[in-house]
Amino acid sequence: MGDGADETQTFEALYAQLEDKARLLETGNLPLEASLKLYEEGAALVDRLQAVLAAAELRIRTVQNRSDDTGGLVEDVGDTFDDDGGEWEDET
Amino acid sequence: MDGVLPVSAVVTYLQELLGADALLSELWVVGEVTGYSRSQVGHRYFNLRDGDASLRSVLFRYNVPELNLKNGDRVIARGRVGIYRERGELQFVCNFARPEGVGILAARFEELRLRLETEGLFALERKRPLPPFPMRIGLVTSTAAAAYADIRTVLERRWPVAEVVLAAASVQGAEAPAEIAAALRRLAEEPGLDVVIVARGGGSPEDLAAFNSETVARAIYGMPVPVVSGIGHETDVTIADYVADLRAPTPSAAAERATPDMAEVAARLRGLDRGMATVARHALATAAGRVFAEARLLDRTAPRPEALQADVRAVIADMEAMVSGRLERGRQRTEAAATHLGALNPYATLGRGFAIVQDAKTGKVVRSVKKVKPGARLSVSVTDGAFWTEVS
Repeated sequence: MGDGADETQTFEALYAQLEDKARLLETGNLPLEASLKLYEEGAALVDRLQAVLAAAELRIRTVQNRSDDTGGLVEDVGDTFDDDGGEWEDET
Repeated sequence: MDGVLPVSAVVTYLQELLGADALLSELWVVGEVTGYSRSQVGHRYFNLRDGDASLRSVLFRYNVPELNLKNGDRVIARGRVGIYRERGELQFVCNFARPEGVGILAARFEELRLRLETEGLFALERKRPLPPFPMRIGLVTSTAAAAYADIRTVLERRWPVAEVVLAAASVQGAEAPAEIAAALRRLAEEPGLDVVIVARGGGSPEDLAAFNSETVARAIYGMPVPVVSGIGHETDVTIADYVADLRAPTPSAAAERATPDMAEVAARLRGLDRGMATVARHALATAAGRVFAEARLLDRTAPRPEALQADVRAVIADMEAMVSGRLERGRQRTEAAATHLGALNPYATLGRGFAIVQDAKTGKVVRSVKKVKPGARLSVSVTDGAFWTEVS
């Protein structure tokens, strides 16, 4: 639980920290320095999260299924009718 | 006796022969019920006849107990063919049956649904909550389908923050179940995935058949992250929908349910920022007010009260500017300002051993030796209280 300087924290984790600080600040009864420190840290989190949103650009990455994946559970006994990969038959 | 087998061995041989046969171990048959009877405990015995052949059959009481059979009914039944040892008779042991009229597709659907539900694949307790801010979204669909374009549109508009990891698969046809399952398994190995969307657009029941397969159902069940299904039109419900952690009525809806709305998140962030700034400003105002009040209490005729007030106002203005974002937000500025404000508080020096001396009668602060006469009564305020003293 540090100052949130950890670069690997997720959006979700940072947002949760922000909500925690906001809640603490709201409940009040904190000395001035503590309040300002919370505000400071909260503002930094807001800046970081807004930066993530501003930089957003949808990326799509395709992954390949393994070529040797035979598909696990076999539903029927259709394997005995495997295509031999032959040529098209003549249309007559 | 060489080459002579005991009957039990022969029957065992037959049982093993039948048990090893893939077809006979699990098949669907259609036929007409004849010779129906029900035992004391509720097991149902009958023949399934078709043309010139029949199979002796049994449906135990705990399988589809609500199904009432009578002679003449034509049924579709699922089960296995075995040997009833005691009589050495061939027997079709049913675990599911339906009137032939419902059709094989519906019968298969109902049988699988019942079986998987009994096994617990649809259990509500197992459904996992969706992460509120998914950064990596898995997607299983056909890239040729309109569903893919629809999902992309929704994600671009709503949550372009995420990275989509696409594992393409056919969504109809004989190869579809295996491809969909393989795509899901591939995504299961993908690190940092937050949620998976499985989708295909509308179609006939035959077109949607892959999503009613046991293969796909088990693959979805085995996923380590929540799965959102968006299959067919609103009224289509497939087995995959039952197993998924969340069912959406369409592919677009699945993309919407899987993500937050970026505009809404931005608004929430602004709200939190404003809320915290308000509290910070209020804390500053309160602290400043306290400093003024204490200074006034201390000495109504303090030499330069305006100077103190000006100092405090300058600190407040500095912090205000920071809070409203006009100055660069800096940690040190806040702490220095808070320290400064604290130092301006007249009572702050008391902690360091200084005392405030006042005339006991008038309350005026004594700053000079010229202001005291011997015998005068004085009050001395230190950090934790005050006491009287007399000038000697």
